[in-house]
Amino acid sequence: MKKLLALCLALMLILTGCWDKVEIDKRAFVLGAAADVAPESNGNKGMEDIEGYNANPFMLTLEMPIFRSMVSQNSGSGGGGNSGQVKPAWTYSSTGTSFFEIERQMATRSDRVLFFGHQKVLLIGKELAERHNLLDVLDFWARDPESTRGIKVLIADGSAKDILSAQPQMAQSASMFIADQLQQGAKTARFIDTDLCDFLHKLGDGSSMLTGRISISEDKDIKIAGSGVIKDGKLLGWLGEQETRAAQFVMGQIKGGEVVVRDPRNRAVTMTFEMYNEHTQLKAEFEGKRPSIAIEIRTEGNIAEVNSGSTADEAYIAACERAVSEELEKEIKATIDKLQKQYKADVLGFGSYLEKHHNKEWKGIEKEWDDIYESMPVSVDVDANIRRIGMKY
Amino acid sequence: MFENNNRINAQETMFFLIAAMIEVGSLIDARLLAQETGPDVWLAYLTGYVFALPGILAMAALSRRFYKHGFVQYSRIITGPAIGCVLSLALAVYWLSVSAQALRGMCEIIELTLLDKTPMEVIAFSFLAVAIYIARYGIEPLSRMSVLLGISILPLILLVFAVGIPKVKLDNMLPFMAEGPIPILKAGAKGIADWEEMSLLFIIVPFLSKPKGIVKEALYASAIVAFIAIFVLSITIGVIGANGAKTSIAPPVSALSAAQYPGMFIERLPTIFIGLWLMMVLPTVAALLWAVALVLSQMFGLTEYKPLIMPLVPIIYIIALMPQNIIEANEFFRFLTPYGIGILFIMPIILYVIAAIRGMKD
Repeated sequence: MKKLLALCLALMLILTGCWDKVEIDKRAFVLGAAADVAPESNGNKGMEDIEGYNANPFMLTLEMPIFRSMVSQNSGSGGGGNSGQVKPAWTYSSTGTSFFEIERQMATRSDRVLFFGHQKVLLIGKELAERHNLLDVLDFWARDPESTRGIKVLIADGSAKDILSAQPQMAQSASMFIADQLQQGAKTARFIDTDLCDFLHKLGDGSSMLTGRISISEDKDIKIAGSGVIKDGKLLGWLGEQETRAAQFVMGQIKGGEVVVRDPRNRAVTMTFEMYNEHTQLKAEFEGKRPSIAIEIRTEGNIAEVNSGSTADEAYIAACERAVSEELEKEIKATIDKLQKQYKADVLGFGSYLEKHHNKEWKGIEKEWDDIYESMPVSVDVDANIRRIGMKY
Repeated sequence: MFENNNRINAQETMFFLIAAMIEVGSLIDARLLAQETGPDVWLAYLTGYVFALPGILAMAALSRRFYKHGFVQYSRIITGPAIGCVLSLALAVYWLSVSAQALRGMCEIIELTLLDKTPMEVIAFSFLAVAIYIARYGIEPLSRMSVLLGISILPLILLVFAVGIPKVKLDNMLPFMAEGPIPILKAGAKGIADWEEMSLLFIIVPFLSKPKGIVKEALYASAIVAFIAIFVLSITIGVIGANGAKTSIAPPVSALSAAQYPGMFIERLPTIFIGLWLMMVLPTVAALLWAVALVLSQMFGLTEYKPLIMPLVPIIYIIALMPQNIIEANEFFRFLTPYGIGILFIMPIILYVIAAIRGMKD
């Protein structure tokens, strides 16, 4: 018995878990991935003409940092990514019939084991988002135990690969740039920050949603602004930057941002309002089977910029508050109208609000919800409060 | 501080029960409950706890009545030798299956998240080897290990999981009881079977230094376990929603992986969480292994239970590794739900009523 026990203990030492050992210098850490529809022709850069793989629907681009050159650039010029220098990240692209297949194909061209545990962003090309159900596209990331549900998912206006291959001015890799840039939500409300968890949750429920839009600006910068409207798992169209802000007001997601309105004292110039918090309250009423929703929004902020002289005037402040409220009401109404009439997509979550807070009535209208939504009356009431006026009196 | 007299005190008893209760089942419960009750998972779990309480109390009270004897002897006293023998055997088989289920569940989670190329056989074997080592030395080292794990690992688990709190959206808990109370009551009735390891109450009372306090300790231990479970379940549903929980193999792990914040000094928290949580599986399997050996040795009138541990290990190993894939494993271990309700609810209450009516006690 003792011998057997000793044998067991000895076996424990040699049998524990070394199967899965991968040294850290043999790993390639995927920071960002871009999913696209494969280009029609095979002449593209980064594509190989592998026999039998010509009809591949998907293209996956991965970005992995090259730590060696990151370190040398940091010590060399203080802050890498300067023009003329090589981007310290490796972008890698291939096509295949499934994303897992593409990921494994890359093993034919790399000496490293890919590791998805630190992936920050996932970009989805416009064409892919329009043609394929995103829930199916995201299945690889939802299923892979390495990747997390905190991955930021954005829709690219154009090819996602181009964005991942771009070289941001101040950052060392496009993925890190995007992940850090998304933290700017406290500064502006012009984009929406969605992660894999949101996608799986909302698309799994069968509801529509808004997601961040990413594009390349005229100056070749990566720009995250506006949002994509997703209905039935597919990209339907875009909302502009102001419309995105209006939509976030309804969803109660505003963390900061600015509103520019005509100055109430002098209509020729403008007054800028900086908001720093916001509270949204939805209320629903039912007339038989016809619901109507009232949105009440309270926002607080400062005067950030005035072009018409002194602000030390109570009546002027009150007029500014009214002007901001009216401007926001107008914007929000227009956005809701666009979503109801043009896109017919309930991305603001009215349906899920009714389901959660008015469950009894919701059960009666659930089946006809698409029709009801299009013509549902929505009223908006914004109450903007100016608390401070900055350093200038 | 510790005496080697094969007796455990009140705290050790409590931690023994808590450590035995917390195993992989708690990680998977969120999915099963969400499938049945949608967002009301926490309520379903609470209902299950309330339903299980009479059974737990009956087990504790029954064992207190016969504080000098284990289950094998007092089931014979109450129901006669033949039925008593059958009941003891049923209990032993139940414990064997439960430990096999815990082992299989743990292996699946490890395979999935930590060691994907390591064969499951190796994980199961090395795990059982440690369990054998502890189980052979009886309840004292077992309960001391439970205390150590309970005071070091459990707070850490809760702390790691609390990282998810800022991501909780209370909206995800709504609608409240959309389908009425029936699904919740149904899930609650099935939830009785989640309290598998509480059946250890049947045999631990003779090892207690103060057997009188067992009812209180059982109550405390179960309340702490219920609190931990509801804490984890509520955060899970709050972060990933009922729909996210339905479509995840281990919802708390998915919920934690969604909790990523800028500037967090550590990434990949789920890995740490799983590592910590899996440590809590060891006391479960070891305690059940010890319990089966003890019950069988008492049934056959052996003075020592130690020789029985080794022959039991292959049985657990084979039951655990019999299902070929994860879906088959889930289906296979489904029999434990009715079985568990019988062992944890019906049997103790009937035995207690008979004992009380006939006035049998030590």
